[in-house]
Amino acid sequence: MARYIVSRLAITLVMALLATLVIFLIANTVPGDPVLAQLGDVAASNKEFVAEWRAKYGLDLPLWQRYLVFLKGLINGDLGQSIASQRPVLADIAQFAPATLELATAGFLLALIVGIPLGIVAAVRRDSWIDHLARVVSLIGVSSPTFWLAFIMLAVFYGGLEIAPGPGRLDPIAFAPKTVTGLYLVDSIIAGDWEAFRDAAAHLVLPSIVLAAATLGLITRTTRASMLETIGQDYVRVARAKGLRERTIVRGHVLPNALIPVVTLGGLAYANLLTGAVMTETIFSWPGLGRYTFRSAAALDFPAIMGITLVVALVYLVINFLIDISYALLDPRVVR
Amino acid sequence: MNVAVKPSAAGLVPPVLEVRDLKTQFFTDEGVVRAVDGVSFSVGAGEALGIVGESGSGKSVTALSLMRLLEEPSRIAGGEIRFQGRDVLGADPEEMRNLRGGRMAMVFQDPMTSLNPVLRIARQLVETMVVHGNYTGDQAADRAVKMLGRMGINAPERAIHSYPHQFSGGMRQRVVLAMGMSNDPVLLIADEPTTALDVTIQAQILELLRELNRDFGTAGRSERLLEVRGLVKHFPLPKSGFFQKRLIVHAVDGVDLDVARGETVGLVGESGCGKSTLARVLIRIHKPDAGSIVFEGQDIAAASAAEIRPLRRRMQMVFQDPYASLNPRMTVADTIGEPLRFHGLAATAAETREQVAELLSTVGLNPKAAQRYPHEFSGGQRQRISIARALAVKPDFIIADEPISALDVNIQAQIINLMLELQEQFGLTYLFIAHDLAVVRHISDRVVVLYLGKVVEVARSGVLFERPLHPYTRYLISAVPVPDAAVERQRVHLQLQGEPPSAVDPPSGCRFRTRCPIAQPVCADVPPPLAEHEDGHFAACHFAGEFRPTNGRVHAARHG
Ligand SMILES: Nc1ncnc2c1ncn2[C@@H]1O[C@H](COP(=O)(O)OP(=O)(O)OP(=O)(O)O)[C@@H](O)[C@H]1O
Ligand code: SF4
Ligand SMILES: [Mg+2]
Repeated sequence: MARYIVSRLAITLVMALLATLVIFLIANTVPGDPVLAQLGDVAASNKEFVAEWRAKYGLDLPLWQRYLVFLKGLINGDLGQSIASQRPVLADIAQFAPATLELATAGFLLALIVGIPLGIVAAVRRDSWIDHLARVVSLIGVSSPTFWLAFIMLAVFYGGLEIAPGPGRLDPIAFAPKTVTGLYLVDSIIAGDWEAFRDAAAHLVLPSIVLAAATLGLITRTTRASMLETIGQDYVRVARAKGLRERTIVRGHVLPNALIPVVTLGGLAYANLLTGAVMTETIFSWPGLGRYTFRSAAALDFPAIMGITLVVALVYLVINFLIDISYALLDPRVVR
Repeated sequence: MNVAVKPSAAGLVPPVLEVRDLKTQFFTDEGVVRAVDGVSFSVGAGEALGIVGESGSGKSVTALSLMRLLEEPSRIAGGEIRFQGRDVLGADPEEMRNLRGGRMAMVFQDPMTSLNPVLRIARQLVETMVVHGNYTGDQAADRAVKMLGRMGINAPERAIHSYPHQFSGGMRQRVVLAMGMSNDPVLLIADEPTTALDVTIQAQILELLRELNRDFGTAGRSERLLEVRGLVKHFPLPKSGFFQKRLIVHAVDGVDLDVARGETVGLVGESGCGKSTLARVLIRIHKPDAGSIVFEGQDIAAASAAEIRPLRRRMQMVFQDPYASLNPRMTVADTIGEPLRFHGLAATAAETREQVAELLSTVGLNPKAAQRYPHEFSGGQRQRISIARALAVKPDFIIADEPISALDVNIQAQIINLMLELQEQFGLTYLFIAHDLAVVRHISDRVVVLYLGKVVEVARSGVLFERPLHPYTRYLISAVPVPDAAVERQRVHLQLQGEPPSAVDPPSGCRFRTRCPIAQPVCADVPPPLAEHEDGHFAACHFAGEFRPTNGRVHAARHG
């Protein structure tokens, strides 16, 4: 097991290094001149001014040298300086990431907590009303476009019924809890500020439902299918022939097998939620990475883009690593 | 599928299992499939009942019906199942659950898929013992280790913590068997517990099952079908010169042999030891020089050809070489139809055709093949044709002379399985000749070892392989590979020195003495009698059981 973990870790590190190279190359070969984009036509026509800019951001060095500079910076936690905000990219990301992390995690947990049991029950009680319900839920989740779902949610629960708060992480008049982690739920608990906790939690409900819908649908569907497949296995019939209770069979024999594919799916889905919340964040005015990404891309702010892309790559690599490890824990056939 | 039942302590009058008019159907989109349609049987305490049928005939579905383990879209549509007098079909789910794996256990067809891949063997064995309340967790864990050990798994206390994928197919089948036996069931349903395994492992598993059943005490002895005493067949050789003494081959030299009805007796020995001659004498292709052959009470050793003809129908022979034993110029229909007409079993051509078609499908061939010639078939198919020909006259006794040694290994297993199925179906008795001991062990109830025309050892198959008494038998067995690689490596491989001596001039005293590592002076003077050393275990050796080789060296304990 230890050897397996070490080898996975090594692979993950190599992949991370490769990712930095790819990201660097892509960011430096995109058509479109960041200087032009930043300075505007007038300033850009001033040759000296432009040269000064290029030197300032190291754009005048040869490509490989720029990569080494980039790598050295990375090791020191320096992702460069955002051209748009004129702040270190890392600081920008650190500022926006918690909002995304909080939203994605809430959405992910929602998808797991609802999707897995729903999938399980749907499979165990095949063709019952709950199975039909599960099918409808996963169909809606998977097939409805995010913007459409978001507007419906807002229109019904915020505009219509007025039981949910509007966009944003908090009420406009409320104060954010003292920043420790940047996650409002956690920070408000640390600060003992229950008012803020309730407010932050309420604000999370609609966007996390919208964000999680597709994932929830996918997880429900996969869980159900995987459960059904496992239930049809010989060893489950054997378990029944042994006189085990139905509950023991489902928990002890079916679930440990059926959840293996759900772990892969869940891991990748979480990575997706963490990195793909642009639409939801935009609609719900959520000050997260998604919006930061959108803004940086529009401005051709390449240090920011590189930083974000790198973060995305790292999220995937780390989650993949975790999936591999949990695979080995769940399935004894993986490590020999 | 096999159903084995343990005798109850009491008077055991009512059958343990009674199935009446069982109907199980699949409700598919194409309509109702009647997989089991009005099956009735009963199994008494201590009985082993075999249910045989071709693939798809409903064996598994019957087995599942008994335990009420059917899944959608199959349902029991009618009939009655009584287990220990209790109505199984009327039992509520909790009652049913208590029966399953408790007093009524099942072993499934495929050991590779019968174990949960993510759970340790220990857990899978223990849970069934615990859930039925017969054992606490600790007791169950203890018992699980013991059972695995008893099933022949090495270092069971360690092995039990493995996952299924770390076990071989044979080991997994042992685990599955142990699982079935763990609550001491009254009824054990085994759905072809060996089909997924290769022949050698099949043999071991069947032996295990047989042993388990023996522990339970199966039904009494069956009647004797064939009784051979002092059988001798000598072949005089042509004189090589006028003044030369005429030489005589002592092919069969005083053989005693008993075969019970329904039994399979394996006959083994080196090439040239007289196996085929013995077979030919038994069905009176050859006339013996001395001795008696009592078949169903009638001594046929000296009978005339006319007296033998009606008996020919009762005894049939399947030969080693399916190429040579079929007439290449006769169609399959003629080959099989000939004995039918000869023995007056089919009156008209139409009747013959019908029976030929039925026989072909019995041995797993397409009846449409009847008009084809032998060369159009594969070796395995030709052997099926030979078997069909032998079966045509509805014999009681079949002598199969190396029926599989000319076939590919995978085909061998098919033919063996076919023979076993036919045996159950028609209550056949086999004398099975082979030099492949693994196969013999698999198929035989008892094994007879022949050396230079004499029987040197006779025992129940499991006993013979476990405790061979004659040095020669030990040599034969050591040549059989063991499927477990680790065990195989540690085994002592004995190499029999030299060629068997000539049957023209067999050694004095014990015929094996010229190659025997523990031969003593007495062996040259006194021929060892075939003596019974334990119940049903005979050996012809002055020092029976004293040849115990270890680690390549040979140790022999000797009396003074
Ligand atoms: N799920 C199913 N749907 C429809 N028919 C089925 C289904 N399962 C089995 N059958 C049919 O039931 C009959 C009996 O099948 P079963 O599995 O009992 O055969 P078997 O005698 O055990 O064969 P084998 O020797 O190959 O194990 C066959 O006609 C088969 O086609
Ligand atoms: S009788 Fe003597 S020679 Fe023959 S097998 Fe026994 S020990 Fe060997
Ligand atoms: Mg079957």
